[in-house]
Amino acid sequence: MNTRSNIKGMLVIFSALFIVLSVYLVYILNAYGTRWFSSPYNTRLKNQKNNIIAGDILDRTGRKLAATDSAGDRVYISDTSIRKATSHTVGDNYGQTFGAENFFSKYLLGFEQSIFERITSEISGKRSHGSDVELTIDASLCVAAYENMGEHRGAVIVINYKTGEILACVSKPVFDPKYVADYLSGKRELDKSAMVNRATGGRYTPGSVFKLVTALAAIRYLPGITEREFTCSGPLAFDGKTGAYLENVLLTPQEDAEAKKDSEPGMSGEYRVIRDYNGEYHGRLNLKEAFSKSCNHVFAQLALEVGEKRLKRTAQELGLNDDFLFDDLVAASSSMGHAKKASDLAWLGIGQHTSLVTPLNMCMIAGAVANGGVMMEPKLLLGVKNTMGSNIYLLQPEEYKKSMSETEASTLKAFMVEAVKSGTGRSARINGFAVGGKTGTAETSSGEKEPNAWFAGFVEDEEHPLAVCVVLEEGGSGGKHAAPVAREVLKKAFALGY
Amino acid sequence: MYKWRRVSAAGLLTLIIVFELSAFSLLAFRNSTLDYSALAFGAILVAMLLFQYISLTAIFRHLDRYLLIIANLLVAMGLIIQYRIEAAIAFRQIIWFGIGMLAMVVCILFMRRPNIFRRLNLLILLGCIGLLFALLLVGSEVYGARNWITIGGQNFQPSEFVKVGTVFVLAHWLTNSRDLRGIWPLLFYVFAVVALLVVERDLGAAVLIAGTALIVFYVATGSKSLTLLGLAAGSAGALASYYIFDHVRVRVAIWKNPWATYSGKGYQIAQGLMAIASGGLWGMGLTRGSPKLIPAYHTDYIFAVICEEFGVIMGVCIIAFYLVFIVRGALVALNAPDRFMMLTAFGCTVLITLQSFIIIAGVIKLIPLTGITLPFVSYGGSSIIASMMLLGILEGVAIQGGETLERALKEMAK
Repeated sequence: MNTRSNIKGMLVIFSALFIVLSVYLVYILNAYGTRWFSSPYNTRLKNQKNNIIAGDILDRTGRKLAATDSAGDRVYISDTSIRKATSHTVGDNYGQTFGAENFFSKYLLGFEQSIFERITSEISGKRSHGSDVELTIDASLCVAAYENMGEHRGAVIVINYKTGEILACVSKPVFDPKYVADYLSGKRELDKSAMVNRATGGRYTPGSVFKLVTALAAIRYLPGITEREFTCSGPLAFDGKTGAYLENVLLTPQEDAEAKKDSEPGMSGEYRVIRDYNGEYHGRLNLKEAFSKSCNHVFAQLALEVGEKRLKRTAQELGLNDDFLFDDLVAASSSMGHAKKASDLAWLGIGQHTSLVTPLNMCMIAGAVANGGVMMEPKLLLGVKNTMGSNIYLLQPEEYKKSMSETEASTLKAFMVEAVKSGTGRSARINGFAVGGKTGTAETSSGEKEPNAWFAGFVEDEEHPLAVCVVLEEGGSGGKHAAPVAREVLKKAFALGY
Repeated sequence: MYKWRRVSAAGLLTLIIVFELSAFSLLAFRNSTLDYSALAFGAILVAMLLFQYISLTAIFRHLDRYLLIIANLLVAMGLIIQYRIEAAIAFRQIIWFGIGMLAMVVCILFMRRPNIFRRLNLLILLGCIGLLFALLLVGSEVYGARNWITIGGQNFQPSEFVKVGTVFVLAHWLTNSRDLRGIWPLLFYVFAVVALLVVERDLGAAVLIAGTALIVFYVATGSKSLTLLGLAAGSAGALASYYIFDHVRVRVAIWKNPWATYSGKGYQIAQGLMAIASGGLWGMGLTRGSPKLIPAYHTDYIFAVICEEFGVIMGVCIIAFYLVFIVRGALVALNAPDRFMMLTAFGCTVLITLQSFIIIAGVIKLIPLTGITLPFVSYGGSSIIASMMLLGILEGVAIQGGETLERALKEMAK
């Protein structure tokens, strides 16, 4: 009778269901465990704070950024500028941020202690100590980044692209971890959205730094592209209504300048146009020159030629649209927008329209280029020491993904080095070091504010494997304002021996 | 082979006894004063287990030992957690467990004359519908679902017993007929029961009974097209209820993102997830967690509490125990002496499967949460009695199957 074989069949399905159940249970613990545990809603943490003396938070040079004093209160390093420059990375004691204070509370509050340790502390009756947490950041480098940003809001992040260690991570405006209770009670004013870590959680319009993605897609999908000669003849024209690309309409810079006067932004007479920065036009040039001069004309055309699907696939391989479930930190995901018409796709290709990218992601991309295409997982936790002084955790570098082939990486690397040597990134040049990078000047939607200034780059050096990303909100030109900040931060890093 | 089975069953039994005794010793020592009642409780639990095992295996040689042991293990797991949360709850529950044991024995005995259930089938059918209908009129509402009835100061959850009744109704009608015309009373029954449960907002039970009916129907008839049609109808019903009922939409929304409504509707799921995350792989340790943060910590959400205190590793073990139970249940069905008993045993197995899957998957956010109890583990008199009845029916079929096989072997030897 086939009922028996049906029963056997159902049994197989049931077994599969229960295997899925247990695999999923282990998976969520792995992927989300730390996030859920360190959630500000988890009142277990608050309760545990009364039972245990939380461990210290140190930077990589051993400076005590946060500690618990004899009265059981949480105290932060006395140097105000360090306190501010590291505020987002260290976090706060009230569950307001995803800094180390919360994200590593498993260690700081001793939740990971072995049964033996727990029993010992139980018997001795003393309030037990949590473990000490050592971060990968160097506080001096953070301060240097913070000071070089000047008055601008924004973010700076420096990563060792070989190991993924985050050496500096600064977000402005800052808060002072010492006064979080006062901010919450309203006794002290806090800058708007100062609690947000812009380096890992700020989603910005990328502007021209996105040309890294477009360039990679072009190298990958358009054979012979590096030999091709382009002509940048002025603005690229699209149909004013449908947004279709009008290949045969050639606006000379003079015509455009004429028509521009009476048109809305982004239009030239009846046409929708993509212009180059400051209305420049570059004439004949190859891909490397177009990249180094950050030519919108060429890159918008490349995006159209590559097509949305392949551009998106390339972006995905560089981490855009990923969930970024890193072990050591909470990071927002970047995303590439959708194109409804040809003009949208052209805008996407030069980093405008609806794409949003985090500084961390951009820094990882620059690092991957320098690292032969291998993107490392960003790491923030250098080590954990328990109360008996033994290391219970040590950083292990982990490959996040292989985002491009070695040949692709070396081509892009040459482009980026050229951009710093003779292109838009000249202000990032440092004598004696091969610095590569890409600038970005990202228009924000309103158009009235100054654009956001971007620089994403690296040092091509075995001894100094550093990737850097700078974003200055309303900073103006990336080449003029973000690149010099990157230069100064890298110089400081060299001085500190990284 | 047979010998090995006996030895390993005894080994498993020893392991459980050690686990129970050490857990209750730990509970006894948790405060500065020694809690003698915890020790006594542990001793009573072990005695109940041994008494059941020894007496039942002595009387019924063909009893499936693993079903019995695993059910007892799951009950013990529940009692440990309940005792740890509030001793009074555990004392109440162990009494229900005792009653459940009696119910199990009664079911075993009744299954020796399975024709009783076939002759009384119409009565069971109408009784179940009547029970749910009565609930509409006199039931009381708990957690937004109208599924409780109060008789003589005790609360009952009739849907738990309707589940057991459904097994017999399904098996009876599907034993003979394989086409739709022959089983119209069954179709009417399933439709009426599911509709009543939905109206009473007991969504968990509705999904459970609809799913069980569909699976048993498929197994009995082997008709893929009709089963898919049923599945489509069920999905359409689910989709319709999504648009018609607010509370269904809310369930789906909080499943997608419980954190968005943390202080409101998403609170329970978020708390459950935080409990699991806090426990980590090895758990916080018994008495070290904060189970009371989670609503329904001793009933629907007991799985999250187990994960918090014993770790995800124990969560995986619990899932594995259910799987072993299900495999044994299916084997009992395959070895049943006749078609009615085969379908009855398989129906019981499907109920346990779906019920444990739906609630565990809901707690760990694999599927939207529908509130039902975790069979054998959760606190609740009706729940544990119904679960023990299902166990009794399975054991009854196992015994019948074993005896039939033995008789056949003897015939052959002659």
